[in-house]
Amino acid sequence: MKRRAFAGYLRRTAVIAVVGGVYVFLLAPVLVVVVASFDGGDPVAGRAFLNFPPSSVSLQWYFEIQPRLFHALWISLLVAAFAAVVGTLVGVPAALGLARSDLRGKTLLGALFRAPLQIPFIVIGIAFLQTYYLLGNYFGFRIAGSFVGLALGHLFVATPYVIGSVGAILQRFDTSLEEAALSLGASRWRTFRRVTLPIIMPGIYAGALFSFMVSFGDVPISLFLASPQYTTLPLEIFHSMEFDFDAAILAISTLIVAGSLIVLWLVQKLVGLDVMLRSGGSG
Amino acid sequence: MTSACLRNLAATLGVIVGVGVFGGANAGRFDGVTLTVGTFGGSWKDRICEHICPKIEAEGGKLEFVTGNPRILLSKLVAARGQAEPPFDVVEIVDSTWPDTLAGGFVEKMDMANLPNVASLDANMYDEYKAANWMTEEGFIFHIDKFKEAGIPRPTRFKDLFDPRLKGKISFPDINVNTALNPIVGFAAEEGGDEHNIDPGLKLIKDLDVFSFWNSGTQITQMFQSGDIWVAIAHAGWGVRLHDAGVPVGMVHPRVKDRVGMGSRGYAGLVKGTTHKAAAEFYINELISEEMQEILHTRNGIVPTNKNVQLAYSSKPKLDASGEPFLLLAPEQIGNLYYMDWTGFSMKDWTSKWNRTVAR
Repeated sequence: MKRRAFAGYLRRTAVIAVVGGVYVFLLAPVLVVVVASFDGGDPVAGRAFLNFPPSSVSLQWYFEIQPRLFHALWISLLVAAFAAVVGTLVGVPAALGLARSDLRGKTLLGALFRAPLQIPFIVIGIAFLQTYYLLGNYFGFRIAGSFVGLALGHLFVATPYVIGSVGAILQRFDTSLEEAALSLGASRWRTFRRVTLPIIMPGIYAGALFSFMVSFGDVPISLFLASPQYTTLPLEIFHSMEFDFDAAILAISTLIVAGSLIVLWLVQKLVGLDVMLRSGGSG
Repeated sequence: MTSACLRNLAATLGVIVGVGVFGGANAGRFDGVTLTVGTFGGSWKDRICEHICPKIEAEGGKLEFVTGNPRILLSKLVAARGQAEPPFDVVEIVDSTWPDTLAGGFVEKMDMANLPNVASLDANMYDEYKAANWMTEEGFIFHIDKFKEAGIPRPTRFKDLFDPRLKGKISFPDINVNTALNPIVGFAAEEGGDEHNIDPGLKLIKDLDVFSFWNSGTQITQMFQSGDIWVAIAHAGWGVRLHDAGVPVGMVHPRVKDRVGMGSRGYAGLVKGTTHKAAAEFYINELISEEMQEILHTRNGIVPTNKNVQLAYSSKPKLDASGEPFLLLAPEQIGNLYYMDWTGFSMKDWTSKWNRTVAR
């Protein structure tokens, strides 16, 4: 009896150690960025390399964040929000169509919808730029260098995430629930709103979240579609890092981490993360 | 309406008309012009704007930047080929992108009369298509203290890096980094090769047993600071930055054939089809001015192309901990650098050879 309890204790300890180790491994880079952003050491060294652990603590780098980084952050948030919202509006009907229709060549269509994720993003960036120029030439529709042009490029790679996550839920969707609603007199729209939508909601949340994240962190597509007015934060950081390291980048990254945590906390408070992600929401 | 009111009204109208007339006479040369420049981002763009933006604005214009390294900028020009309006008016060019830029017809001739500052540049720093606004001196940065501790003498050429004590302690730029090109030739020259025969160099680099291939200069500073590497093949600007940050490094300008050190140039050129030619030429002229060159030299660590600035700073070069200068600034030293002959250069061929030999 004692031996079995001891074995159980060992197993639990091992699981905790492994899980803890994985978490430390995943979170360590974020922790390094956050801690190093408070470096109070020599500002010249702070412009040459990341100082970790910091020799002293200060907020000096937070006062060094340039306005262009905040502007770029704002653009990134707008573009990512566009990709997440419009990606959802496009992706959910596409996923429903793929799961429910009797279209011939459905498999091919599904593969086509996933294709954006199989093309290197840098190729997508230059292909979109070229397309915009062609559209401008033939139809006078000039969107190269505009917000719409940038956002559409991001939307292209964001939508497959919504299709994938919603599609996964629809694969194991019990259609008898919808049939029951319809047989009880509910209209198609009411059935969708009251039965289908709540069930696929975790997939929509997950897909929109992935879309947002993919767009927010993108460099290669923005590299070709950004313009002086519409430059995203990752692109600004990428260009800065080509020349010199600047600890102010750590400071704005820390603000983003803090902002993300606040948003998560608010979501937890208002809706409940557990509610959002319950029922296999990851898709 | 009283006569006083009428007088006031007439006076006001007079002022408005006067301002209009004289304001028009004083209008800037670039009224309503938005000049778009394709160049590096980060602190580079900021420094340029600090100096040139107010000057363009004083003439009624506006300066904007499309950021990217010269290869990305060239890709954008390729994508925009045939457009009525190019994506930017001025483009940053490096030696390695120059052949494709010229062959693609992406630049147009400048009116040299509008660039009086070229008089301060050496003849090999400009032509009618482009003017060099920065230079880097490529070689290798080494950790002075680590070398001393290990008893390794100060190297003088690329082959000295084959000291067994340096095994796994060297970082070389990846082929995607512009800085990789000159050192490849430097290594090739050690075995009788050159820019037209880089195979011997690539074989040597393969045998070098490097710690890593770096993609961004920030990686170099981090690896030096953490002690992972003792040597980085890089340009001298990174050595200056590390030195200023307190890392005891020195710069070796290696002997290449009969020359000492390797030079790489960056140019600004006028994009074909620009509708703001005068503003673009004004910008390029400002870029090579003494004031701008001094700012870029002292704050961004580049070698100035303006001879007056070279002379001014050659007598007071920044020295490393062992008393050796980081940069060769005297015009005769700059003239004695090894400059690659870029005739027939093909990035595609070099990358393919690199992938077959070094990256395999």
